[in-house]
Amino acid sequence: MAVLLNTSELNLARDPVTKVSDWQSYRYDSGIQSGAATTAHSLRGTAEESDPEYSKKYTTTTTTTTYTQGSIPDMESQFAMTRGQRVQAAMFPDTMMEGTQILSTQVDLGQQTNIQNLSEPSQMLKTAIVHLINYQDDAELAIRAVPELTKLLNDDDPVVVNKAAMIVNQLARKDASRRALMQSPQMVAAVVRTMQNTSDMETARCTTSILHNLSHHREGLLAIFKSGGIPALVRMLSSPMESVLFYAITTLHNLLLHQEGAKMAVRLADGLQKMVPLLQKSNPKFLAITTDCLQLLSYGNQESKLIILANGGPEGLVYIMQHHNYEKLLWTTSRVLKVLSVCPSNKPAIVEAGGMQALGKHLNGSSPRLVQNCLWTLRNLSDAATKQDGLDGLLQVLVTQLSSTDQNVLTCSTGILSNLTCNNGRNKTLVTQDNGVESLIQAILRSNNKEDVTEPAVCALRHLTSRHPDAELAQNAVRMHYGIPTIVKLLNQPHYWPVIKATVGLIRNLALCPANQAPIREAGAISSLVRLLVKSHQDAQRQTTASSQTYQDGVRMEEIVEGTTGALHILARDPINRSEIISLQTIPLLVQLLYSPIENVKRVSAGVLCELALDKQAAEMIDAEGASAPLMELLHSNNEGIATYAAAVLFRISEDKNADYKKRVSVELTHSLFKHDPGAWEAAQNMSMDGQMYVEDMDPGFQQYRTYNPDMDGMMETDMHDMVDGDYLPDAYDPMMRQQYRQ
Amino acid sequence: MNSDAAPGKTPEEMYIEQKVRVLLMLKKMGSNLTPSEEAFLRSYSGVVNSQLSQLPQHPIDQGAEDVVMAFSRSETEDRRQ
Repeated sequence: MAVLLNTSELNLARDPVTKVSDWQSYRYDSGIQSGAATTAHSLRGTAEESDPEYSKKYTTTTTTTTYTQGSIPDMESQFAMTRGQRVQAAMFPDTMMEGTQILSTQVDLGQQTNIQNLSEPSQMLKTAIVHLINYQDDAELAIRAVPELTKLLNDDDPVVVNKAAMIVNQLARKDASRRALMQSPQMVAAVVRTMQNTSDMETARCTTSILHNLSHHREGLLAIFKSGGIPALVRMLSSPMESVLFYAITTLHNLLLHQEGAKMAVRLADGLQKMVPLLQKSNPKFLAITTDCLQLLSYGNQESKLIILANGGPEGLVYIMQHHNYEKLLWTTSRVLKVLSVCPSNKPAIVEAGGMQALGKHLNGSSPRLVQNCLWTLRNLSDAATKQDGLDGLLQVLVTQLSSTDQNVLTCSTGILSNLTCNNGRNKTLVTQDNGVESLIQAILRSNNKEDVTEPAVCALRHLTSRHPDAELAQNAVRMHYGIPTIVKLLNQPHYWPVIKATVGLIRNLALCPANQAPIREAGAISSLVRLLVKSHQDAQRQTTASSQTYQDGVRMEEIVEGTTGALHILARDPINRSEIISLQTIPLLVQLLYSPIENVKRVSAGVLCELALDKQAAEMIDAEGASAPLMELLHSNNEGIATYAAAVLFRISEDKNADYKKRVSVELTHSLFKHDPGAWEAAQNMSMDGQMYVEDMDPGFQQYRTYNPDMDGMMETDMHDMVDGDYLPDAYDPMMRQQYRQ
Repeated sequence: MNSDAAPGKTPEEMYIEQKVRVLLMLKKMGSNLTPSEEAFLRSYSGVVNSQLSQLPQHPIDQGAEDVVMAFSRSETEDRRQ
């Protein structure tokens, strides 16, 4: 039974040691005092493993007495006497004298009496009442004890402080007394101060445990926060004691989750600098809490991400992904990597640390949330990983992921594959040989025209069909897996311009394979391409000022002009396609495009005209459109492709011309920069490859423009969509040139 | 090409050299030639042989470069499970 606290006796004891001893003499034996368990919410069996759990027990005694018919003397009075005893026995078995016999009224062994039925609920009620009494006692005790204990914690004697801390730790484990602690700012401040000043390990353990217990309640969190607990807890992250680390990180975690202002306070206390090195620890549950803290601190906070980077965060996180298999830890770690993966500084560090391979390891796992997080992170990182080696396994897994029906999985897999095949011949070959072409076509079919899937899938196919040894294999594979009609259909309305842009580039590559020319034509590609060329050219013409840009869905119409014309250029190698292109009245527009200030547009339009001019009638039509003048100018182009096409068209136009005309062509060729000196050719080519400014020193009518930098390093932050293939004049046409355009 | 590159060559010889080079470049870039252009090259096979070694070795017209897509523009928060 509870012993009432005699505070007068306590006050008589002046000596602190005696005071503490007196405290320890007041004990409860109701069962609550044996130690209510308060463990870390996500840690089980750590640090305080010696604390037994409180358990409730009760017993009932049933005595059955059998009577025969002839021996029931004065049953009624006997029953009246034993009823009270039976109630007492049921409710307070510990008050019955040993050996007491009570008459039972149970006649049928299969059916309990009313008192027997009520014995269990009555025991529970009694236990609850006892708890309430003890709770009240606990609360009163704690309230009276808190000031004293606070003084003891501030004592100079470390032994006293240690003892006091132990007692407070005990109190912090019970609801009632913990409430009293939380409500005393002086007590919480004393605990915090003791924790950060002590050199005694046990005291440090007790005090961190106290704060940990308090941190499960809003009031406690606020009290810790207001007492400067956060900087103190951050300091405890340097402790060599595992239990202190557990309590400290868990308390900080609770603060970060539930206490307003905690994130800022942890950052200000250099919490990140202390937490990142803890990634070297091996306990998976500890790591799960630590990584979750990092995620809470770094989400949406660029400075935090840079601090994590500076302290070796990417390496530590990638190590965890590579070497652990506790699902919750992998999930929390993948969340941190996802947050860091949008940071341009962290991205290359994660990739260099082997992040792509480590994340790819979990794509075949059984945890959908982990798989999805890894995919999103890989997608974010992919533009920084185009030159990364050792991604064979990842590429294989991604190709298999293309058979998923989950749109998120398709979105990510196609996006990652698109980037990893960008300018990487080895990856292109690997994906082609892994049946990537067929899988990408299937993904497009399954995408329900969702641009998030179709655009990267088409881009990936475009990469696979050019600039690597197996490009021709890929071009044929598209046809053999019935991909051509599917791809050509993407040119139809409604137009989503990024998809259109990717598709015209893919069609251009597919047309490089002669066997694809007829299927592309039969799918109706030529009329679609011409329609798109006309529309995009008209839209591009509508820009009237130097500052305005003709963007639709983030794509410039000049890019569509270039792409469609480029596709027609290669399609025109087929004679039947050539006739169809001519019949669609494209020559006047193509001649106009020779005046474009954009070098790539000039190149592709000269290329188409070069092919069309193989046909004599077409050559005459080209000549009739006045193509000679711009073509003569183009002979002087530094771009050897342009100069070649221009010369070829002029040769073909002049075939039936008189000698004077041919001589004029020759003179122009002679005066061109089309040198025989191979060194000069190479120099001209190197100028274009290095991205230097082109200077049209011949003709003031040609404006300067930037050339394309092929080094697509993922560090660039601007929208890569706009930085397309080739040279773009950012803005207006030269007024002089505009006059030469035919309407 | 310029007029004082190869002394002793007539304008017609230079025209033939230029045309052979143009046609060889076209073939290198994958374009078709007319029957008369093919015949022209056959007629001047000696010039063809001397021009072949002078052609640039790198690819001339490979179409558009590959493009990376930038996905990591903004963070998305997932539900804390």
